[in-house]
Amino acid sequence: MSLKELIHNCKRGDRIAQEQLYRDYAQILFGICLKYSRNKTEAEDNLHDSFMTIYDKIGQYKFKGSFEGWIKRITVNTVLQKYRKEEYLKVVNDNIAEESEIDSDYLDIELPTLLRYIQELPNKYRLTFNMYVLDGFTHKEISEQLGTSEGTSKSNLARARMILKDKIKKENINIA
Amino acid sequence: MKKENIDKLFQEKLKNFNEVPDEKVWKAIAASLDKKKKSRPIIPLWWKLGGVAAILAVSFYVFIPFEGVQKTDQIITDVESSPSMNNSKTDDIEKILPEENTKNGSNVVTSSDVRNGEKNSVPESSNDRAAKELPDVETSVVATTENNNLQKAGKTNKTELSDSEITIAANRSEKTAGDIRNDEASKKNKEQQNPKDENTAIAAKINSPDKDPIAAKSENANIQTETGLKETAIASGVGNLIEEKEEEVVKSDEGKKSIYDEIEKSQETQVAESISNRWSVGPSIGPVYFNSFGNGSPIHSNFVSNSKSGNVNLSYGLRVSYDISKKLSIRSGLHRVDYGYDTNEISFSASLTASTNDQIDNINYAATSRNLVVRNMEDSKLSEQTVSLEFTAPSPARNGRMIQDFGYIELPLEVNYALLDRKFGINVIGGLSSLFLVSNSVVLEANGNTVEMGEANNINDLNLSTNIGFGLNYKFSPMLQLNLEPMFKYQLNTFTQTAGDFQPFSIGVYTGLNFKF
Repeated sequence: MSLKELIHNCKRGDRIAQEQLYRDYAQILFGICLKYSRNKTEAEDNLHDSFMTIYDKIGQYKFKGSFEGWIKRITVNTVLQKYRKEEYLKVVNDNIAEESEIDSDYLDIELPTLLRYIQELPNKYRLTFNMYVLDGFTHKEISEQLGTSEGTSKSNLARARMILKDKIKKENINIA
Repeated sequence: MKKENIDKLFQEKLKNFNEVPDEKVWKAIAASLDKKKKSRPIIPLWWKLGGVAAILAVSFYVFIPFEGVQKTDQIITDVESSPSMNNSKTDDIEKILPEENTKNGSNVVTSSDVRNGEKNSVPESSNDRAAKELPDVETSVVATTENNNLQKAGKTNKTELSDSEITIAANRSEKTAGDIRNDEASKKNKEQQNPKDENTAIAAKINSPDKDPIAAKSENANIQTETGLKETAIASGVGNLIEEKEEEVVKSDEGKKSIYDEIEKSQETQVAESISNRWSVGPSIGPVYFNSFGNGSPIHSNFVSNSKSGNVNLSYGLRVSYDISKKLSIRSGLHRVDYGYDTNEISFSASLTASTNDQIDNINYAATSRNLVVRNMEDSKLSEQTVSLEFTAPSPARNGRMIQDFGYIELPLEVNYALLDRKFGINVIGGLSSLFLVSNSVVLEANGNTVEMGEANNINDLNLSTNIGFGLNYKFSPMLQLNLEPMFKYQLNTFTQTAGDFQPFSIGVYTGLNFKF
């Protein structure tokens, strides 16, 4: 089944096509969910909600632009929507000197550890760090998506980097 | 000591990070889909109702008025019938429909033009044009001719691609941060040598499933940031690296704005579309005042000179609305509406000698009121004078008013355009209504007593009105809003024939609630 057929069948609500779509894209979207969520359970919930939205809105996909890009955006939006409801909107406007350089010796940290560091970040820092560093959103876009100011977004990013840096440092000491 | 940016560390390991979820997630999704399927039939009912309403309304506007007018013209013998007027009214309908169509048509064209125009204004002089345009192509859900052309060009070029070019493009998507600088330099050279390569790069990316738009975008950002870093490090030669870098980050952000404004826009529409619910439904109720332009009478030419007054009645019903876009919505529904107006200075009496000549042609008399003679007060005075010459008995005639009521089931089809779409919103509403006659009566009233006279036979079973109005609304929540809508409705063919100029209209102030679902 080509992607086009698959999408058409999903639009009709065909269960086999829906499952095929899930099998094809679940691992990419679950990767996003794991990065944006606090833990695996929440990531699974978010993946579930994202797929439900995708099946619901697939009729709006008009084959313009990449389908993968489209479902990724839905996933990010679904997760943002969930955490937007929580209390992460508190304004943090303290200016933090950005110091995000670390020694190259620290760099052999395993992926699961890095993922855990991101997941442990408070909501606002985790979402901002993911959006800016991993998914290339600008501060303007982030501030609009999260309903904050650009200044807050920048300071959230700086905070996130600080926390991550601390964690990496500690990890290094433990290894040493 | 060699330093690495913390961002790079995470990007390298986590950017294209995938993980297969547990099987239980699919099971949960399948269960949710099952559940949804069961609860679904309620929504398609609204779809069907809306569809039926729209089709009915349109088909009636198109076919019925012409047939209706011709048929009734043959039956009715009244001298003062004015078929030309009816024809001109149906012409009005014809005019209105195409006008609306052209309006809609031109709107569509303009909006897509604007979009294309905006896209064209994206600066293209940058070295990373290919990378910048890519997110547009891949993220934009809205169709644009530019994108189509780009994709088409990409596809044609793809067939001409040499293997090495494909490899270069494919490698690019997998390269590590360390390679970015070198790669960018080579790409720059390539672009200068042969502009065609730019397309091939785009084509390769478009067709490469591994490459995602977000990755391309941030990769671009990194290139900018890093190049900037290098330059500033050489220029200053001393510390302050952190400060400089911050500036660079801001710069690259600003540089991105002009291009990503476009993406952002399409993302916004996307977000809006994926989040908001398009259907809303709610009750609506309001007082409706009915009156007419012109002094004519729909009952009989005898009453043209009488004073007439409009009545205030109640209209209530259910409204269904569907949002085509954030600003534009189409709505329909089902309303019960009663119209009424009084013809004053009426004199009526019972007469054993009442013949069909004395009866009003436009009224089908009720069985109990066949002997009623209804006249204009002035006329009846004249006839009384002649009568009183012969008899000295007091006049049996009663003076009062004639109340005509007619009720409809109204099926509107209106377009709602939001001028202001905040917590408090202002809308302009325009459209048409089909009105199906359900009640019809003519009653005589004198000194508080009423007597049924019959029903008018010149009221069309299907009436049409053109509607225009303002809508004010207040959103309590995204799901619930309160509306206040003063509407003016001009009736197109309430009566098959009228004496004199009688152009009915109604003014209603509707209030209602709207629930989104």
